[in-house]
Amino acid sequence: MKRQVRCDLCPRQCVIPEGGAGDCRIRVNLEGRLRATTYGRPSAMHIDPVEKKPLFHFLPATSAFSIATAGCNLHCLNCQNWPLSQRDGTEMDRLFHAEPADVVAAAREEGCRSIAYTYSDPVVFYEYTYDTAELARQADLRNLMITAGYINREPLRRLCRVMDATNTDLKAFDDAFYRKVTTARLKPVLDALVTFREEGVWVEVTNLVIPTLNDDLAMIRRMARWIRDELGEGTPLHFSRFYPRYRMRNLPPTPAETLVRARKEALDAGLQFVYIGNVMGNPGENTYCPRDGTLLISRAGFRVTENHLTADGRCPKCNQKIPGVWQ
Amino acid sequence: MKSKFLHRHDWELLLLVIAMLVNLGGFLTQELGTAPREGAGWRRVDTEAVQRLIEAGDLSDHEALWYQPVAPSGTGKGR
Repeated sequence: MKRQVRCDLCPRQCVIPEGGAGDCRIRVNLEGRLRATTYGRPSAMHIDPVEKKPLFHFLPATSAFSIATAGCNLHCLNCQNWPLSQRDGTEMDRLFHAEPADVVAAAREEGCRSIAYTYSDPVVFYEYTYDTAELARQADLRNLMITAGYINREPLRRLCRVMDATNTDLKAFDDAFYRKVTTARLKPVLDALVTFREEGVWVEVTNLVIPTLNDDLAMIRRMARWIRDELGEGTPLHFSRFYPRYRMRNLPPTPAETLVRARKEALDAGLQFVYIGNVMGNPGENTYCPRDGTLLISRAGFRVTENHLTADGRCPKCNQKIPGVWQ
Repeated sequence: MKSKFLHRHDWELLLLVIAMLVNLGGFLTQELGTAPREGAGWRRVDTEAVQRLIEAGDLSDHEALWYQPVAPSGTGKGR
C-alpha cells in the first residue's frame, strides 16, 4: 500500500505520495518516511563578507561561512541562483560531503565569525541548518538565516532558538505579485518576519525592486510603514537592484534613480536605516546616524571602508545607540 | 513486381516518419509530466536515482522533521 505523508514545514503543506518529493524537490517520501535528502550534502560552500548577505548591522567586516543545498520552496521567475534552487539533489554537479561538525570546523579554521544558511533557502534544508547551527553555537559562532521566510510558525520558532540574525526577502507588499512571480503567498512571509522579531533574532529586510512589477512608490510606502510598525523603525531595509535572470529576461535592470526614490519613500515613512544594494558608489550603501546625520559606516560594495561606530555601537558625536549586533 | 502504391524507399521514409512521431510523442509525454504547474503540491522525482545516490553516500536518508502520515487520497497528479 502506498504510504503518503504531509510535510508541515512550510505553508505549502505538500501531501507527498511514496516515491514523490515535496514542491521543494529535496524532501522525498521513501517507503512512507520523509527524507531530507540533502542533509550534509551542500552544493555550495563559500566564505563571504557578512555585508554580502546583506547584513549591515551585524558584526560588520567579518566573514560568514556560507552553505546551501539544492532545492527551494519558492520558484521565482527572476531567481539568481536557479541552477541550485530549482533542481533536486540528483541533478547537482557538485555534492560536498559536509556533516554539521565538518561545517563548524571549517568555519572556525577559516576564521569566520558566523555561518550563513543561504543562496537557495535554508527552510528546505531545515534539519541540516538546525543541527549545524546548534553545533555552531557551542563553538561560539553566530548563525545567519538568509531566507524568503516561507515557513510555518512552529518550525520557525524552533529554528529561532539557534539563529542570531536573518535577512529575509520581502519580495513585494502585494499578494498578487507573490502568486505570480514566486508561486508563494505574502502573509506567511509577514508572519515569519514578526516571529523572528518576537523570538529575538536580529532582522534585516531585503526588497528586490523589479521595474514595472513592484516599483510602485505607494506600495513601497505601505511596506515601509508595515516594517516600521511591526518590526521597528530601526529595522534595516535594503532595496536591491534587479538584473534580468532565469525566466525574467524581458525586463531591464532597475535604474539607480528608482532605488533612490524608493529609499527616500521609506525614509519619509519613518524607517531609520534604508540602504541601496547592487549599485556601486551610491551613498545609500552607508550608515548614517538617524539623530545627527554623522557618517557611521562607509561601504563600497561588500567592503567596509570606514567604521566610526564606538565599540558598543553608538554614534561617536551624539552617543545615539545604533540598533544592531556590533560585537 | 512493382507495388501499385509505394516503392521500397517510400516505405523506408514512412517508417522513418513513424519512428520520429513515436519519439516526439514520448518526449512530449515525459516533458508534460514534469512541467511545472503552480500549486500541484508535490513533484515526481527519479526515485531510483535518489536511492542509488543515497547508497553511494552522495545523498542522505536523514529523516526529516515536521511531517506526518496521512490517509492515501487527494495527492493530485504531481508535477
